[in-house]
Formats: sequence, structure tokens, C-alpha cells
Amino acid sequence: MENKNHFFLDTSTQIKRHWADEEINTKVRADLFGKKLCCSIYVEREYRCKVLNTLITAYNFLMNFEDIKTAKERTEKLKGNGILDDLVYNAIKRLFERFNSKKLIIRRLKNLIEGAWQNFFYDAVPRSLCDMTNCTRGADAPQLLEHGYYLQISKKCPENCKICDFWKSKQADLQNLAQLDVSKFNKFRDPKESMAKIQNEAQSILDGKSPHGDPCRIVSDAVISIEARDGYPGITIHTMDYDFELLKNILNTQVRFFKV
Amino acid sequence: MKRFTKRTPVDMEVVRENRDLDLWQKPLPKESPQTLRNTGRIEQVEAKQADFEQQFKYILAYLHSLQWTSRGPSTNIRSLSWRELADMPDVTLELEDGIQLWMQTATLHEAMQFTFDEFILPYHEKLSAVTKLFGELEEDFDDVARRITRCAVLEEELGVFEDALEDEETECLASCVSLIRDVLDYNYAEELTQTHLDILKKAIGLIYDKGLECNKEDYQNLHEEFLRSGLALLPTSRKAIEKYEPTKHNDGE
Repeated sequence: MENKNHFFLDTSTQIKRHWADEEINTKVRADLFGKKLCCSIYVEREYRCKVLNTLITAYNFLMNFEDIKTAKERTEKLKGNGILDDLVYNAIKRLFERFNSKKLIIRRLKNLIEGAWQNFFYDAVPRSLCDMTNCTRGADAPQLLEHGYYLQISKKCPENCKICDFWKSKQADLQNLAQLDVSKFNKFRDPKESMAKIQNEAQSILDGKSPHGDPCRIVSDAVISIEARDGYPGITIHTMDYDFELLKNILNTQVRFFKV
Repeated sequence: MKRFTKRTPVDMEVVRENRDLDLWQKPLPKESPQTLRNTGRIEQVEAKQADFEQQFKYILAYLHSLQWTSRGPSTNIRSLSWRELADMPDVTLELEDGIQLWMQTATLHEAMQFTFDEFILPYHEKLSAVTKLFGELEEDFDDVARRITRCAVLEEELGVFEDALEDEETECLASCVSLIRDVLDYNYAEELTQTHLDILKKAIGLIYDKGLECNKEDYQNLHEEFLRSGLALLPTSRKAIEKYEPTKHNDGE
């Protein structure tokens, strides 16, 4: 039975409800207001990799360069190539504009890196998160190196996760994904061609390819959908990523695609 | 040929005087009066002797002031003879050590005084200034125009305070201060509610009461509480965009 007052927050919602500009974040938070919220470890790992690594990269540039302007320019160059999360960067670049003192920006970034980021993730979400995959990608705390630099969180997947067991137990879902009729999804509905990629990867996993590592990231929306469906029966996935909407009939999930 | 040198009264005087000086500490170079006369160094010896006498007066004054002052006037010093005093072992060295110690203590005291003046006092002064400004904000909260001004002034003052908190031991306090500052900088004063004011009051109270005792937990709790109240803590608010990314703001309009 569908529960429209209980939302499972996808990574896109988690990032946008605080890191997007006010025009968007207020609407997202208003949409979530009064609802029971939950999330999963898998989503938290994705969030960490995006948010923390962007913060750490900006922090390290500030540590590395004498003046704020150069640090800003260097950070700017990394925008748009997948190294930085654009939304998080947009927030950080205002810090570059705001302060004349490196010390003050560094202090704020350090506070975010060392813990404040969690408040933005867990805001109204209980700390006990659903965990079906035992995902440990980027699970370690940010590592402070010599001379005050932080090491970016590794995006490599450690071997000790349970993604293989997860897919073994979700064979029916995997088969449904592999049998996806991608011709239904034209470029307008699926501009990123995500469904074709998911279908292809699901078939490969069925054929014996390890779902560990890159394949896991390609089918991550499917993993999150299944975690939400089975971890919290009846829950609605709150997302700003249209891929979840495309997957909902295949995986039998309830989705609230929130578009601003 | 045997050389004979006649001892003059001046020479004898020197020898007699030097007998005490020898006992005192530093034996003078043993040169014959003739040589001394020839080289004119007798004047130097006399000058040195005068120096010793002067030094000794200082010693007496020092001993008197240092050791016996607290016990009131004493006749002990007067009962000491010149020789007895001269026989006191290493008194000059002790005195030098004492003076050195006193100098060190004075320097240390001066340094402490400097630290006190430069760090502790401004820190308390700044906290008091912040608290006073917050009191004024509370008073004027209902008057929106005045509230906006009060918030701007308080934010500036917090900036000055934050800037002064540079050291590692002030990091948590600095973080709390910067958090309060962010609240005022990223949120429109005219949109603050009584609940926000109450949380701000709590935050100001925390930094005032705990000062350097503020810890990471305090910061985390404060951060969570501000966030729960709906205040913007990231520069993603309209106010932050208007202030720090005016181009985007204008384009949007």
C-alpha cells in the first residue's frame, strides 16, 4: 500500500534540498515538510563522494595557493568535468567572493568537511539508515594529511560489500531490468539514455559479470529503488532524477519525481 | 744588581685597600708600584676600587631591601664587618643570580601582562560588545527597520571577533561565532522570527558563558538547531546570492 507521507530521499533530493539555490531548495523542503523521511547507506555514500570531495578539492586549492583568486580559478576549471558537484561548487564559490581572508573560508570549509555536511544530509532523517548492500565506497572519514591538506574520498569500491549477494537475492528485478524494452524510451524521455545503459548492465550481470565497481554505479538508481521498496514497504521515493520515474513500472516502486 | 723600590704612601694605600678587595673577590694584577707608576695604571686601580666601593654600597642596599625589609629595620647588616661580608662565599655571584632571576621574572611578568592585555581583555571586551549588540537587537526586534540595522552591526562585530580568534585553542569558539555570523549574513533580518531570535540568544549565551570551553559538540548542536529552525546556513540563500553573486541575481530578474 502506497504511503505518500513517508518519503525515501534519493541522492538528488538530498543534495538539492540544501545545496541548491534558495529558489529550488525552499520548494524541495516545503515539499518534504511534515513528511516522515528516511534514506539508505547506499545513498549516503553517493552523497559523501559528491559533496565531500567538492568541499575537499576547494579546500585544498585554498591551502595550495597564496591568493583566493587563483584558488577560485583553479577550482572553477574543474567544474563541469565530473570532479566537482556543480551545486556544491556554486555554494562554495560564493565563499570565495565573500571573504578576503583565506583563513575564514578555510575554517568554514573545514567545519563542513569535518562534520557539518552530515547535518545537511540527516536533517529530519533518522540516523539508522537502511543498508542492503553494505556499501563501503567512501565510508572512511575525510583523512587529514600533513601540511593541512585533506585527501579526497576514494571513489573505488572496496571488495567487502554485499552487492553480489544483493543481486543474487533480487534476480527477478535483474531479469526485469535486462528485459527492458529500450525502444520505449525516446531521447525526449531519456536524454541520458540511462535505461539502455541499465538494461545492458543488468544483462551483463545476469550473464555472470561482477556487479561490483563501475557496473554498480551504472545501475545505482535501480539499487536505490529496490532498497527503498524492500527496506520500507509502501514508501514513496522522493527524487529529482527522472530515471526513477522511468524505472518505477519496471521495479514496481512508488516515485514522487519532484520538478522545480 | 739588586733593585730597590721604595714604597710610597700611595702604594701602601693601594695594598692596604687591596687586601680587602682580594678577600672580597677579584685579586688585582700583582704588578710592582714602579710599573704601575710607569704605566699610569694606578689611576685605573683607584677607579676600580671606587667601583667596588660603589658596587658594595649597592649590595648593601640590595640586601637590606631584599632580605630584611620584610622583617622591619634590622641591625644585622650593620653588625657585619667589611671582612665578614667579604668572606661571604660567592655573594656577588648570588647577587648576580638574584638580579638575573629578578630580571627574568620581571620580563615574564611583563610578557604575561602583555598577553593579558592583548588577548584576554580584548576577547572579553569583544564578547561583551557582541552581547551588548545582541541586547540592542532584542530590544529593537519588533521594529523591522531597526532590526535590519542591528543585525548588520552585530554581523560586522562578529566578523571582527572571529578574525581575532586565530589560534588553534580558539577554533571551536571561532566556529560557533562564524556560525552565528553566517545566520545573520545569509538570512534576511526582516524574515527572522521570534523562534530564530530565541535560538540566536541561546547561541550568543553559549559563546558568552563557555567562551574557550566551547567544543565540537556545542558547534554541532548549534548547527543542527539553526538548521531545524529553517535558517539558511549555506551561501545558497537569496540574500547570499544577491550579495556574493550579483550577476546571477540580476540575470534572474
